[in-house]
Amino acid sequence: MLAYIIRRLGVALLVTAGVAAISYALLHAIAPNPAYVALGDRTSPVAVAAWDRAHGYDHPEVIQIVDYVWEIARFHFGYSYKLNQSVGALLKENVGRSAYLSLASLILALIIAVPLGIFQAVRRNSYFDYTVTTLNFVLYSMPSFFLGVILIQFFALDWHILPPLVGDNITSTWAAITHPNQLVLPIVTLAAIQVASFSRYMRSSALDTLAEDYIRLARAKGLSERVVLTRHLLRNACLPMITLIGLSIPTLLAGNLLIEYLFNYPGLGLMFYTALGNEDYNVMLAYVVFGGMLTVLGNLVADIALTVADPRVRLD
Amino acid sequence: MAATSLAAVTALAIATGVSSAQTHAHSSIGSANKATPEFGTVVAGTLPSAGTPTTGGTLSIGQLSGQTPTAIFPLTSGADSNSAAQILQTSLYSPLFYGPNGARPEVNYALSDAAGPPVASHGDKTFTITLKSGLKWSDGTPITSTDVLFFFDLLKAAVKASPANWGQYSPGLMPDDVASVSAPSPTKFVINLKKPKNPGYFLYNELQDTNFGFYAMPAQAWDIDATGGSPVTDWATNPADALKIYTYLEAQGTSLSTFASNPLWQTTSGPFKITSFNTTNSSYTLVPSKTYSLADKAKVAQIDVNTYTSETAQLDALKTGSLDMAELDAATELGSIPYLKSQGDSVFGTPGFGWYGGIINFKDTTDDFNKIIVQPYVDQALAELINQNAIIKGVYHGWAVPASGPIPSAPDSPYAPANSADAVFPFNPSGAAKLLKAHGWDVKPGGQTVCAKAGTGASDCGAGIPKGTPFKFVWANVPETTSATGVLESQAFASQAKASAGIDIQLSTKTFNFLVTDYNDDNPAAKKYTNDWAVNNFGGIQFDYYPTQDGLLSPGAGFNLGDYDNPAVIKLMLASASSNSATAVQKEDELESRDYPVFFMPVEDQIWSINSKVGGSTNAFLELGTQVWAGNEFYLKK
Repeated sequence: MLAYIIRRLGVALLVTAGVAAISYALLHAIAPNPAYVALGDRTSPVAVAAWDRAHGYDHPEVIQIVDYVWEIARFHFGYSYKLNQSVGALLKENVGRSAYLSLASLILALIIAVPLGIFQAVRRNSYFDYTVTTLNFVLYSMPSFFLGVILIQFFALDWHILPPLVGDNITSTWAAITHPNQLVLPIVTLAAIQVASFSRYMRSSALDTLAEDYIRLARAKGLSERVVLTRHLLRNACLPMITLIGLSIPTLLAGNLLIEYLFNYPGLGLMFYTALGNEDYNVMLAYVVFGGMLTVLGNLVADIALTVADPRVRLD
Repeated sequence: MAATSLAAVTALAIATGVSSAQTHAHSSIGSANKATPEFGTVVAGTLPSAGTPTTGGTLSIGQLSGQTPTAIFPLTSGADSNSAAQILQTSLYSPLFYGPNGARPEVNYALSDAAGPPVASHGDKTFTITLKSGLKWSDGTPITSTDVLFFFDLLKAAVKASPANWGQYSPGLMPDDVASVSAPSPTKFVINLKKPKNPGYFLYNELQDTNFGFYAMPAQAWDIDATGGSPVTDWATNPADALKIYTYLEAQGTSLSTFASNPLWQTTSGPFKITSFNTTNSSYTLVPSKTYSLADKAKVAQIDVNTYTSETAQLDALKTGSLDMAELDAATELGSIPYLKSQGDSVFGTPGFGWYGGIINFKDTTDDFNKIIVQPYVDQALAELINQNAIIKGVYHGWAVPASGPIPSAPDSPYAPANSADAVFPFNPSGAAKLLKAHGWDVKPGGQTVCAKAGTGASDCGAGIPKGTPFKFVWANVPETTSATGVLESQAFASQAKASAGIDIQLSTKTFNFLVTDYNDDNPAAKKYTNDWAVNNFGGIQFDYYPTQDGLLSPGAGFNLGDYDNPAVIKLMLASASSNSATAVQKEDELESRDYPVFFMPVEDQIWSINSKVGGSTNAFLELGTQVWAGNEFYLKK
C-alpha cells in the first residue's frame, strides 16, 4: 500500500510537471509575455526588451518552460503584476473560501443525492422515479450560471428572501461559514447541478446492488426494508460514488468559477476569471497547474478511499 | 500625448448583440437637471436631478474585479496607472491640475491645487505655477511649492532608475525637458525648460496628464526611506536619497494590505481619507477629510466603493438598491435599462475623449498593401465604405458618437478643429466604387476587385501596384469576449467593402497582448509578423486633453504600431508641441483626419446608472463619462 502511494505520488509529480510545461507553452503561444502588464501600456519596445531580459523571457522557450516547471516544483507560482502580490499569497488568500464553497455544496449534494438515488432505485419505474429523473435531466443539462440567475431572480429580486450577492464582509473562510444566508444561493446552485449527476449514478449503482444475491438473502431472512437498505445496500451502492467524488474535485473548481463570478464570491475561480480578463499571466498559469494538481490528487484520494471502503480492492 | 490605460480602454469597449436592447438617440440633456452643459456636450439618456442636498449618509459606488486600484502613491508606475488608481488617488490627494471639467477635457480649477493655468514667460521656456493660498495637509502643515519640488525630485530620480516608474513618462518630455526648477515662494513653483513648449501642450501633456501628472506631496511626512526611519532631508540635492525615498514610498504605496493602516497615506490633501481597504476584493471606504482646503467639501458621511465580481453581480446590486452608482456594460445590460428606470434610476451615457479603430500597417507587403494604402484616393474610398451611423445604430444601439479623425464629435474640446463633428469622407459606397474605377481598378462588387491599370498616372492604380493585384488585406481584432463591438463593427465594414467595392477584408483574432506586442512594427522581435496584418484593431486610445497625436503617429512612438511616417504630419506635431499657436493642434488633427493613418470608428459612450436618491451637479455626473469621479461632488437628496 505504502509503495503504491509513493509510486502514485511520483507519477502525480510528473503529471503536474507535464501540465505546467504544456500550459506554459500554450499560453506563451497566445500571449508572448507579461511585460506590457508589468510595465504599463505606454512602455516602449526597448523597455519591454530590457524587462524580458531581466525576467528571463528572452530565453529560448524550452529554457523558459524548464525554469517554470522548476519554480512550480518549489511551489513558486510567480508574481501577479496586475495585483502587486505573489501568486502564492493570492492562492492562500482565496483557497479557503473556494474550498468551503466546494465542500459545502458537495456535502449538500451528497445528503440529497444518495437517499434520492436509492429511493429511485427502490421505486424504479414509478411516477416518483420518472418525476425525479425528469428534474435531474433538466438540472443536469442546465448550466450552473443559468440556474444561479434564476434563483437570484426569484429568491432575491422578486421575493427578497435572500441577498443576491455575497457581501464585502466575507473576507475569510470563517466569515463565509458564519454568514450562511449570504452563501445559501451559491451553495444551493452548485449543489443542485451535482445532485443531478450524483443521484443518477446512485440510482444506477443501487439498482445493480439490489440485484445482488446478498440483498435477496437479507430480504429472505425477513429483515425489514429499512435495515436492508441502510445496512446492506447503502455502503455497497456508495462505492462507485467514491471514485466519482474524487474525479469531481477539479470539476468543482471549474464550477466555482462561474458561481463565484455570478454571486460576487471571492475565491480561486473568480481570481482566474479576473486574471483572464487582465491577461494576468502567472495567475492564469497557476490556476491551470493548481487544477492539474487537484485532478491528480482527487484520483489518488479516490483510489485510496476505495480500498478503505471496499476490502475486496487491493492496491498493488 | 498620453494614452491612458489602454487595457482599460479595450476592456471598456462595449459589446452588443442584445436583441432586447433599447435604442437611444443622442439628445440634449434631460430636463431633470436644468444646468446646460457647455461645449454642446452630447448625452444619451437623462441625467439625475440635482435635488436638495442633505448632509450625511453613505453613498455606494461600484467597481469591477480586475479594475480596482493597485497603487495609492500618486507618483504612479505605468503598470498601476488606471482609472481605479486615479479615483482613489484624487480622492486622497488633490492634483495640481484636476481634470476633466464635467465632460469637457480640460482642467477644473475648483478641484485643483493650482490657482490657474501655468503662466508662460521667456518665449514659452519658463512656466510659473501658482498654488492657491491657505491650502493645508490633513496634519495642519501648509501645502507649499516645496511639496511640488519634492514630487519633481522624486519623479526625476524614479524615471532615471526606470522609465516604467512613471506611467506618463515619454523620452524627451517631463522630466527630461526640464533645465531647472525652483520654489521662489511658498505658492510659486517655476519650471525652466530646455526648449520652448506650447502652453496647452505643456499643461495637458506634461503637468496634467489626465490626473497622473503633478501633485504636491507632503514632504514633511513622506521624506523617509524606511518605516520609522529618520527624515531624509537632502532629497533636493542628493538624487540617490531621493531615489531611496521613492523606492520606499512606491513599495508602501503598492502594498494593498496597508492602504488604510499605513500612517503615510493618512496625510492627505484631498476631499477624503481612506478608512478601510479590503485586501480580498479591493473594496474600500472613504470618509470626508475635515481639513480639505478646496471648495466642495464632501456632504456624504461615507463612500463605499464596492467591488463586484462581474457586470451581472453589479447589475443585481443596482436592481436591489444595495448599490447607488455603477457603470453599465453596454454588451449585456442595455436590456436592463427599462427595469432600472422603472425603479427611478437615471441612466445616461457620455463618450470618453479619444478614438477607436484600426491602426494601419504601412509595412505590410502582402498583396502590395503597403503600396495601395499610401494612395490618397484609397484612404478616401475606404473611409467612404464605413457606415458610422449604421454602426452606431446597429452595433452600439445609439450609445456612441461618430468620429472621422483623432478627435471624436463629442465631448467637445476647445482644441478640436471647427469641423471635427463633420465626416471628412462621408459614407458613400457608390462613390468609393467609382473612385477605385477611376484609378484603374476593376471593381467587382461582391467579388474580388483587382488592379487593371498599373502605373502612376491619374487614372492608374498607383506606384508599385502591379496589374492583377487583388485589393485584399487582413484586419486583426481582439476576441469577441474582449470587445464584441470591435468585432461587430469590423464585420459590418468588411461586409460593406465586399458588397460595394469587392474589397476582401479578412478578419482575424488575436489577444490584446499579442496585438500590442507582436503586431507592432516597432518591436524588433515581432518582425516575423510584419506581413501578417494590415490593420490592428486592439481597441482605442483615450488621450490627454491637448489632443496632439505625437505618441501615436510619430516615428518610434509607443503606439505607432504600423510605422506611420508622414513628414507633413510630423512637422505639424512639432508645431503642436512647441509653437505658441493655439491652433497648431487643430491643424495637425485636420491633416490626420484627411491622411487617414487609422480606420476611425465610432466612440462609445460610458453608460452609468444612478439611484434616484443620489444628487449632484451636472458636471459631477458628466465627468463619469471619462471613468473618473469626484466623490465630494455627489450627495444624497432630501
